[in-house]
Amino acid sequence: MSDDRGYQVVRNDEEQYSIWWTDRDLPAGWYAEGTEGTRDECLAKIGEIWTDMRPLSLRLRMEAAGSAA
Amino acid sequence: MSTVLPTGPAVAGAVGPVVLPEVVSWQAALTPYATAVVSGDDRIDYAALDLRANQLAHHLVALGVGPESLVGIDLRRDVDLVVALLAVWRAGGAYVPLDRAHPADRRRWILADTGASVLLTKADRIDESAAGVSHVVRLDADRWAIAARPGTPPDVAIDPTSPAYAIYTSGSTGRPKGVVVTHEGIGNRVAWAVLEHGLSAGDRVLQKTALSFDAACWEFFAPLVCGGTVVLAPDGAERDPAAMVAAIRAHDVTVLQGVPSVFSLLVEEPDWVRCASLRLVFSAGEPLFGELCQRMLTAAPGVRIWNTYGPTECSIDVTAHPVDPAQLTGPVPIGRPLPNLRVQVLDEDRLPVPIGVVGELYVGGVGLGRGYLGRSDLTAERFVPDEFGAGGDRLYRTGDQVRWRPDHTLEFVGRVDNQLKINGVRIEPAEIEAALAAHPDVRGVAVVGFADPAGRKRLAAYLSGRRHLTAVELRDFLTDRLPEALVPAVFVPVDEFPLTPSGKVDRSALPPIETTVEAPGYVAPRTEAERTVAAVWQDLLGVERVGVHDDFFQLGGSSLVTIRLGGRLAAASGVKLPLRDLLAAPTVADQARLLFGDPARDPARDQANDQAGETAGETAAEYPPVARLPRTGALPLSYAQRRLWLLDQFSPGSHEWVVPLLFRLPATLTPDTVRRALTMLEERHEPLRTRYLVENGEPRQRVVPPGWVELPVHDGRAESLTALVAAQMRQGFDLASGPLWRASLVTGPGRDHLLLLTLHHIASDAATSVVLERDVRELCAALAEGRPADLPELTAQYADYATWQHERLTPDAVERELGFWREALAGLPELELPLDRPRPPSATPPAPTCRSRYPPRWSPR
Repeated sequence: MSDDRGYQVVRNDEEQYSIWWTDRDLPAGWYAEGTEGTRDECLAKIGEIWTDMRPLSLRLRMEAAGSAA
Repeated sequence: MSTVLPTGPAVAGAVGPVVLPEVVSWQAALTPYATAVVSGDDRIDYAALDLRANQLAHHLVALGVGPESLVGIDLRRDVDLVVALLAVWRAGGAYVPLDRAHPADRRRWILADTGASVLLTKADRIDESAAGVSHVVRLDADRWAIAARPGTPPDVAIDPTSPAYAIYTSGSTGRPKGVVVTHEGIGNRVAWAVLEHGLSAGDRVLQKTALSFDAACWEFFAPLVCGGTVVLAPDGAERDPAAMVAAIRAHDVTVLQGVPSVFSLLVEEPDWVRCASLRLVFSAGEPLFGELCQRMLTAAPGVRIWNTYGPTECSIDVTAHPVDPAQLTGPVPIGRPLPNLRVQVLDEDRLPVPIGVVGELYVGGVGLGRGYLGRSDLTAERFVPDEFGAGGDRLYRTGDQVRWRPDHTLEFVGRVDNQLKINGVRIEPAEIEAALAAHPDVRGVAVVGFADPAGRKRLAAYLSGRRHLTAVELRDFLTDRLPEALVPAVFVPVDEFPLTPSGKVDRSALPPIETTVEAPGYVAPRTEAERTVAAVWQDLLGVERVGVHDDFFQLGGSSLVTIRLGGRLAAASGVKLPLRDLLAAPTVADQARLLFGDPARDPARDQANDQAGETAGETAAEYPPVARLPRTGALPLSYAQRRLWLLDQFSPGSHEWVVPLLFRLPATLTPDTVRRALTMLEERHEPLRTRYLVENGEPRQRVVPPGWVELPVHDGRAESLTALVAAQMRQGFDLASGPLWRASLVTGPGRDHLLLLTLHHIASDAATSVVLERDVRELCAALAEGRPADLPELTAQYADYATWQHERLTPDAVERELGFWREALAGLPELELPLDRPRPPSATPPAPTCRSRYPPRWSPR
């Protein structure tokens, strides 16, 4: 698969990350994180910044349960 | 007959996401005495399963397990395994299976990759793979510590989006990757199995898939959320069609899951036609064809076959298709999506393709896993934004090529990448290439799949090396590093690899694989031993002529066939060879030598092979079976009995030898039912009614007829439980006049009964306590339901064993064994262990207690 298209790092409301083409409209509910580059560059960036893979809603529920206890 | 209980699967009552450990507890409340798990002669009911899982869960919580914790599981397939899985979930954690068939190095790597701090295993399984784990819980050795924990579920809220398990699959980066699946995902899959197929209390599901495959999970939990029974197949049955058929017949299994390559062996078993209890068969892991379905249906016309499809990343299955019995040939569709899952077939530009056009399958919905453990980059690559969803959704790119059929079912076509499936095992050639590249003499390597002349799918490795490398040494090298399913069958030497214009290996231009290329000249079997081995090969591989130097793998052998080879050779020769030895001896001549070769075999090796762990130099075959003897007179004592009798003579009636057994029984049982059950227990187990007398200066045992068992009942509100237990523990036993055990029951409104048994150590130990508890539970349940107790018949009792032991340990035999150990231990230095306290002339049973307090910050939260 030749893949020299431009990519960007995207994130949804659950703070889950993925990549998307820069020349295509963002799917609903996904937002640009700001990083653009090759596919590998974008994936490497995600490897750095996405360190907690719990969905945000779960993180918030766990924090709420932790502080209530 | 039985007490009227609400029926119907508990999972049917679930509202919202299904969290399996919760639903199992509802089911246990609905059908406490129904059999939850059967494993050989062992069985456990829902109440006991629930109780033991809760106790272990408390133990795990105390070790720090909670939501988001990963817990390693290295257990054989028995009741303890089911308890362990449920316990990990009840504690809020997720399990990570460690497969014993995989090299220790790989298991250690996986444990380290998960960061798991707790490993659940048994004492005899601990090896170097556990080195980096902080807490190793041994379900056998730690049994009493675990059983002392509360039987109620720990106070842990399980979020449906929290992980349920992590399964490692072959990774294209050269290392396996951990797929994290959530409770709502696996719950959805299990609920589908129960609700779509009407699974219920009458169903018995064969659990035979190895835990390291995700599909094993529903075999455990579909029956446990509908009141059915999990039938645990013997270890290794997943690759042994004869053992599988035997398990189906022995336990009237109704539901079976498997991969087509195993089904194609199953239908050849003579007893397949006698598997009349089967009603549902699920095919998974590989493409299924109409021809195989027809062969299965010919022998079992009443069976409904379903073809299921899905990657581990999507909670086992994404689509399913009921096989049309009228479909005689061709690929069976993979069907339509399961509830709460959705699929898209997209082209390279990620746009939907029309019906009939091949595209890549993308999956969305509740089954989607969280991603790859610690690999957010890989996760982001495979779990992509969904342009067609509700907003913010993800789709998993399966890498599988499919097409829509006009009837809106999906058909599997192939892979978009190099990933292979062999015998249902997902294989990334890159992982095998990385392992081979680590060999110091390998320069270049490419691994591909191919079909041998008989149509079997196999792995081939093309290699260029710094010297000539034999298949045997390469296979040996890989066996230490990879699961056997990933070890190529054929190694093809090449001088130069063909390259694509971009400089990568051009897989399509590799030379064709000739499976006979390396075989030296044909030499007919020369000895009876070689003829026996060759005959087994001919039968297994379906080849006409087998020479003594032919290579098993070149002729079509695979890891799957090697297991069967081991079984057939054992049947023909009486020698069971470890799989590893068979892999390292791939010719008829080698195997004949291993099996029959050297008449003076190495005794140490025999001992290692003998799982019974019997004494040196002897094999199990030399022991006569334990025979049942008449009880007309007194019988000798075993050496263990004699030891305890002697200790008792020092201080007769001492409470030193009192063994307690304390467990809960359902409050619905009347004390009289419990008393009758205990009377039946004493009738069943002679050691409970054996008396120890001295005749002619020698201790002898005499079994007395069963009598009435006293059962004092205490009110738990009026008396302190601690005081009751302490009082009963202080009561010793008279070995000559009996009784050798006592029971009391503590009752209280709105809570379970507590049954306290105390026994003399001469009548019980840790292993027998397990049996006694099981028997008491089953006898109580049977009496309450007015049915006969479902307990295995006892073919011999302890006194029979004692006599057998006496007959076997003749002075000659003892001298032989002593001689062996004298020789084995000769020359070892003697340790000078100093005593740190003066010792009184005779032992004093009471021991002081020393208390110390830890600051709260030291204890796990």
